[in-house]
Amino acid sequence: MGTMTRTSMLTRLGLLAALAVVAVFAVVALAGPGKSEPARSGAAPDSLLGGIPQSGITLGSPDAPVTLVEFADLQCPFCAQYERDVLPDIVRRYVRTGKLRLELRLLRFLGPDSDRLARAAAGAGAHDRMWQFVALAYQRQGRENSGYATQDFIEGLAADAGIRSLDAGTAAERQVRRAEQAARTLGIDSTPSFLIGRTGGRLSTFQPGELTPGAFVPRIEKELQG
Amino acid sequence: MRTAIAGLALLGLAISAYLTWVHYAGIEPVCTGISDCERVQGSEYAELVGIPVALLGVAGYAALLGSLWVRVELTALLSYFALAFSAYLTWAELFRIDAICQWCVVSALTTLAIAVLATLRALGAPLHHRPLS
Repeated sequence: MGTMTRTSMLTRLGLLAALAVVAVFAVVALAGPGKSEPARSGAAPDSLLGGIPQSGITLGSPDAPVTLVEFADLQCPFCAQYERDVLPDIVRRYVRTGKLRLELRLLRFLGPDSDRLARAAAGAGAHDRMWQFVALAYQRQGRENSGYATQDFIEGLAADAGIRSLDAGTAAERQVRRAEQAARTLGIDSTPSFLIGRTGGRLSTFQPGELTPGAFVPRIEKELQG
Repeated sequence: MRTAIAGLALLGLAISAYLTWVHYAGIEPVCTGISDCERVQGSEYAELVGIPVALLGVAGYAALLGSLWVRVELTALLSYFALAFSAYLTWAELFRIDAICQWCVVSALTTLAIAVLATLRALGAPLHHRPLS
């Protein structure tokens, strides 16, 4: 092969490489996640929660030895932080392995958006998909009391959580009232608040020093040994 | 050379097929200590226009494999596409998702090796228009 032809092949390959880089860059810039609207696919919660038993407000095996209860408001930014920074680790390490069951009691003290979201989440619980719904609600959390939790917004969450028809009626209202009553009895006035203990036994309040997995793991381990 | 590229493409195909299966089955990929595959697979970067990137990987590696029996330039072109896309995904892992998954790293290195081999193969191949001596 002569030098000329080798050079021309090199040029050709260079052009092909440039074409590939430009094409990939264009596709990613046009269709990549950076450009997509805030409404994202429902795949994310399912990749964390898929295959884990769910019933109403609980996530995890009913036979799990330890129960962790969270009181939350879907508008509360720290609750969203817990969902993002702590929950995935806890679910993978303890819930998926059958050691821990989670209960989520939704409150609505921040405002009307909280109320609509809490009732809709309770409605999602009737389909045993509350945790997917909640994960999406946190991902798309809007500015507090901006009225962002419209009917359309909630229907979008439900659809992406895999729920066809959501009923946020009287049964849902009853469930939210039960959560509020429990919070009053326990003197809970901020979210997120936690209770932990042996399943079926007496639960005690638990205040993590910070919202990181490291603040939860020792306490869960202690309960598992106890 | 062709055998080496085919071997690497099969490796990439196997990884992508495994990750595609994991994606649709909704389970966690087997993951080593330092990586967080679940987070990567669950991120918004795991899909492009609704298609799981693992499935794009399956299609890409299959096309690479097929191209080995067509033209050397085609293999090179496809390998550059794969390399550019892998580079983008690796960038997303490092700077957007803040998590890495070892499957993706192996796949990225595989595409890099294929691109190098495909380039060498194209440069060393007998040309179609060899000048008459």
